[in-house]
Amino acid sequence: MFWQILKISLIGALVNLDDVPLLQIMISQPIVIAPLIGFLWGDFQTGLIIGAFLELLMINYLPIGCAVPLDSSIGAVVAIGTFFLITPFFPSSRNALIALVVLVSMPFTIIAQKASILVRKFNGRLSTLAQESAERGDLRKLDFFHFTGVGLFYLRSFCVCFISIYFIAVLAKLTVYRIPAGAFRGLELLYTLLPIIGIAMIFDTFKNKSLYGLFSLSFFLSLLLITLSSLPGVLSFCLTCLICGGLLIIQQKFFKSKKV
Amino acid sequence: MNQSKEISHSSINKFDLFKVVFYSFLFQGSWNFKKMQNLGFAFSIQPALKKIYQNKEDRKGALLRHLEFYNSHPYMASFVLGAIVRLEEKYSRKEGVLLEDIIILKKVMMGPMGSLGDTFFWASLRPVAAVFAAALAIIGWGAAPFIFLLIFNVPHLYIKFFGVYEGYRCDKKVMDEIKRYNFFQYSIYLKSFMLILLGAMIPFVIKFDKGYADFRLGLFINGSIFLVILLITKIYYRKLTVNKVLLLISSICIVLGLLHII
Repeated sequence: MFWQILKISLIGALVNLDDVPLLQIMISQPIVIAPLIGFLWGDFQTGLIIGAFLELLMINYLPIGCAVPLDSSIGAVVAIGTFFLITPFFPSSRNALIALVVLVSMPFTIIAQKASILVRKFNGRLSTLAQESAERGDLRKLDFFHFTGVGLFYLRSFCVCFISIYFIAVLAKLTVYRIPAGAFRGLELLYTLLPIIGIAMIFDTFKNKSLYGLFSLSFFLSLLLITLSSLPGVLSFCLTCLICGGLLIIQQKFFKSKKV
Repeated sequence: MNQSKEISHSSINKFDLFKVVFYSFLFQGSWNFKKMQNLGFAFSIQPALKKIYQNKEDRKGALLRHLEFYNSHPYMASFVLGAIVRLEEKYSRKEGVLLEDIIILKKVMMGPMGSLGDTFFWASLRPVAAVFAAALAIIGWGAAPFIFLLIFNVPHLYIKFFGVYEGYRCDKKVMDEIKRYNFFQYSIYLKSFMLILLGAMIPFVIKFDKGYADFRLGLFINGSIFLVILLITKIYYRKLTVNKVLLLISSICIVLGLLHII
């Protein structure tokens, strides 16, 4: 178990670097990082579902300005890592376990956020040291201090992932026989509700009521296509988006609205 | 054409600008609360400064200038990087650019660039790409992560590369150039489109056994989901965080399971 947690944490922390200090091509987003780790550990599909759920739930936590949002990327690593470790202990269904790992990973997004704040505070010292060495004429030190910052971000991600997954795995081992079967039935229901909670959370951010018509239209059109046509799901979805997207452009052109 | 002409006449060539772009992938490497992205800015502009200032003392002065407070959007900062490289070059050749011009341009562009980038990339493009990919993942399409990366990174990498070259070409006039791109209007389109994505996604959340054959059953189930969404939205009105809402709903689900109601 130790080596597996170590490997997941090392890889998870490496990909998590993309979140702030390196590249920022968004491979650290839950929808990418969870299937990636899932693929490496032989279950891409579970990774995909965990990633999609976490993405929907945490989409509103944005790094705007100097805000440090909840770390959904670490949450995804913890969730998928925990899933692989606790699956042998729990003979319940896969869906209930997915709901469970998504649920238990949420508090660790807060811990990762606090750890990130600490690193950023410490990086202030690096900035001062870089300035002092530049004033002394030692310009090469600038690179060193900059890369130290990247290293600190990596260390933070690794520590949070490792401790979190280890803690949950030990807890799961201790409580495995004490959880009643009814709780897993509840988690099955939660599995269905998780994307709905995510959708509701995003829906709540829209204040422009003139767009609710398009929302309802896309809902009914999508439902109509998947129930009455023989098109595959992906095509029905994309076709709905295309039709409603076209209507949106017409609406914006003729009834310009600046408030969203 | 015009751009390559201007670059060929200067000491900074296209490859030097490419190096600036390459280094800027570490723009937030040492993000800190004290001076934010100052070290990242100095680190990214370093390859160009090495070329512009052969004298170590001059280079030191330039680096110290760029170690001052800086906070903007990491992608949109590429426009500022390009413009500052051009101004530093002109300053080193004494082509009518004052030291104050460099400092002022950097400070003046920092806020608007941050605001534009936050609105377009963080608050619009990323959520839309993520919702689209999440919907595809829920439908069961394995290519969802690649679609997400493609939707997000085409505009991102375009701005990252193009920004530095365009900033270099326009120097002080770069703000006028950026205005032409209408980032705010695109943000409105994208955010509106997200609502369409959400609507189209709802019927896929529950896969009922009949294989979507019965429209009335589908309508009933999805109508119920719709009501649940509205109910949860009412809970969010109380300004609860996602963690609290999850805790509340999961507790209700588990209690229902323990009481054999479900």
